Amino acid sequence: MKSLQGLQAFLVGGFIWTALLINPQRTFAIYNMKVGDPMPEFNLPKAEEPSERFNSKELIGKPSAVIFWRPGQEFSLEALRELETVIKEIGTDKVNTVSVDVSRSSNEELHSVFKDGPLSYPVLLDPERALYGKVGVIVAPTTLMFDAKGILRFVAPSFPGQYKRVALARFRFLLGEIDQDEMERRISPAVLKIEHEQALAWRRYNLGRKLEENGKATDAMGLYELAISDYPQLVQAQCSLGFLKLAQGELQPAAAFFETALGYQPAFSEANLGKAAVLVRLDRFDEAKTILLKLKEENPVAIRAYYELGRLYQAQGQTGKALEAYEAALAKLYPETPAEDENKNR
Amino acid sequence: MPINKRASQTDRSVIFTRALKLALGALFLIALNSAATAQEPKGITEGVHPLLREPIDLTEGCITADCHAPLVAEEFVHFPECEDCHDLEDEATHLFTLNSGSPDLCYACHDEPEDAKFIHGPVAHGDCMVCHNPHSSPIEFLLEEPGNKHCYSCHTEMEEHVSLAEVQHGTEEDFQCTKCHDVHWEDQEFLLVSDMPSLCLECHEEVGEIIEHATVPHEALTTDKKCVNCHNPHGSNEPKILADKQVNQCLECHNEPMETEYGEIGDMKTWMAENPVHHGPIEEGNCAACHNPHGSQNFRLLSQAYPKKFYNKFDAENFQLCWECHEQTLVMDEKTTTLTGFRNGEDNMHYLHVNRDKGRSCRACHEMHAGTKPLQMKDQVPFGKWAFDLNFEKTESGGSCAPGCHEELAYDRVEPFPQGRPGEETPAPEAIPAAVPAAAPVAAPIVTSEAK
Repeated sequence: MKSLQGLQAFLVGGFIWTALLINPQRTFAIYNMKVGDPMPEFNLPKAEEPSERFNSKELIGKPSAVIFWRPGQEFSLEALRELETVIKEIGTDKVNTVSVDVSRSSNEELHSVFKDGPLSYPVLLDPERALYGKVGVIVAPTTLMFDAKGILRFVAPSFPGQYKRVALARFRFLLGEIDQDEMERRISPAVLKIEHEQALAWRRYNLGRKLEENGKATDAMGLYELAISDYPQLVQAQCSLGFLKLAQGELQPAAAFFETALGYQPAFSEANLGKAAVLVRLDRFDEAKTILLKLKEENPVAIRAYYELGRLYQAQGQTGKALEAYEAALAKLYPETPAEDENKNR
Repeated sequence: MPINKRASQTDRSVIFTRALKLALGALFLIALNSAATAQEPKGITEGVHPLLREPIDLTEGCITADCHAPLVAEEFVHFPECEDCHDLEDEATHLFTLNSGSPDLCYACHDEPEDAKFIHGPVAHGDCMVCHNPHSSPIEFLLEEPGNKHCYSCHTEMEEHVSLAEVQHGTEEDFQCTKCHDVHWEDQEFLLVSDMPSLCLECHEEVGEIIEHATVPHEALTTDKKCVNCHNPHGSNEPKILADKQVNQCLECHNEPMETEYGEIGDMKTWMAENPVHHGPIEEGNCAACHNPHGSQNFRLLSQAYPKKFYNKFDAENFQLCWECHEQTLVMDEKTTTLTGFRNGEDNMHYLHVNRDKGRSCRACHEMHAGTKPLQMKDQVPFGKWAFDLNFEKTESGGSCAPGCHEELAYDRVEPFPQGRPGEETPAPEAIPAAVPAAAPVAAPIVTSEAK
């Protein structure tokens, strides 16, 4: 019963979180506007030159952002900086942006904010909080995003860690560069997780291969066995074990590993190759030949497929065909190196 | 997540090439014995290695242009002489063998792991050549591949993870596996070069400062995986390389009541699931807007000052936490038409309640995390061991409440009520009576033992 309640709480919580994260209708950070409302008209002085004024009509025609902020508040300053990088990434000519200082800061305080360089967008002053009140701002910073017609589409309160990501995705959506699904995916990307058992199995397999290359077949075999005990679906490890058993002349165990791999992935080339190699050694030439003829043009198993074909023909006494197959294997193995020269430096 | 299937079967060719050559050689011999093809293949002398068609002058040394020069042609060369590792077994057949096998051959000069608790796989298997070329390499330490790429040749899942991560751990230059992991052996799990959190704090000094000066620590930093409880040092899709979305990360632990040295902490997960009106930062999944997960000098790990008590003589400095987002003049301006919706005409009701000798803290009326009423107004106000109903009702242009503190009073932004009631004067702040306990105790998400 308790676990059922827990599951219920989890599902309800999960639904609420998901809905909140992607729902653009949230307007909890402002109390006088809601998504879908037209941009309030305003005509505010510019901080740089208070005799000049900026009219809200200048924002219409392109997607726009209006950020309410105040100097001396870290979240505001970080939001201003990130919005600047967002606009530069999007293209300053593609969107309109203004910031509205809602504080009663002195000129010195205001200018100290931009001592490292001005913003690419205007800073407006709203000391009487006329626009602030029209919008009903509750927190600073608050970023409103309007579409090209001046309709409020998104509200972003404060400065969460994903501010830049969210702003970028929303601007791209308003510009028509991405659809809503893609916007939501960008705002809330999938959580990256490593499947540890699989990862460990792959590491063991990869190390096993290197040990095998260095002549440590017994160590390699131990690692392959560990790998498939962690993750039996790792067909590469199944096949590696199969080939090592094959090299030791243990045909039945080898066949079992190849069959297991084929059970997981019927088309897995290496497993089919291994199966054919076992069949060659069991003198079941017709079955082996059918498989090998399919594999001989399939990289990267073609080299070994030709080699096994060579063995097959040799066992059947077809020396000429065997020689051709071995040469084809060598040609694939060293496509640009004459067979004689490759012995050097070994 | 799908695992990178980097491993290819082609490398197996190295092993079976010899077998292939033997088979080819055997076939040639068959051909030689055949009457139909009784012609000796050109350039092959039976039973003699092709390189030995001419006697080899060993006085010239191994590194001549025609012999083994390419082995030591790279920038970084292993400094021993050839004979330090190789013994001449048979001059006639130019047969050399290694003095001893790896790793003993390597340990003759290099340190070997003795009492190390954790040993890297290749070292544990005694195969130094998995990572190092014993002759020369274009890469320092005679590695086979540069930087992280070398590690990814076995740790294939990491390469995929790092390539997919939107948020990387530092720059590409900074993000080197060997900054955190030893490649041979270590006493720390995962071959970490030192214990956590000190390993992380070597770079993240500012976090170290916070931890050092914290009077309220976060247990997550000292238990289980420590820093890695919350962060994924290999990269993630979340800011601050959090392993999951921040709120999920917090609720992974805060999903049941907790007894701590600093008080009881409620089951935040259930509380937030059952109370749909969330505080702004929580709507954003941003618990760290108010709490510092690395430690704090404020109760509840609050990142800035906030009054611990229910009643406080007003001082704006005590509300620094709130001013992180909210406008300070919210409680500084007695009159306003823009700062807040909680006003009776121009009378700022926040000012009235907070800015006074016996001022209320915000959470006297608001839920800090989540509630059921608009603006997270509380259903009940915890007061000592008791709680009383707030009875808050919202209207189109205002609202009303009838708590234990005073009789039912209303406010309206458009048609203000004189002193909260039609036909009467607004009482002076001092006239508001102290809170009176009423009603039954209530289970708040955080037990506010300090609300006395």
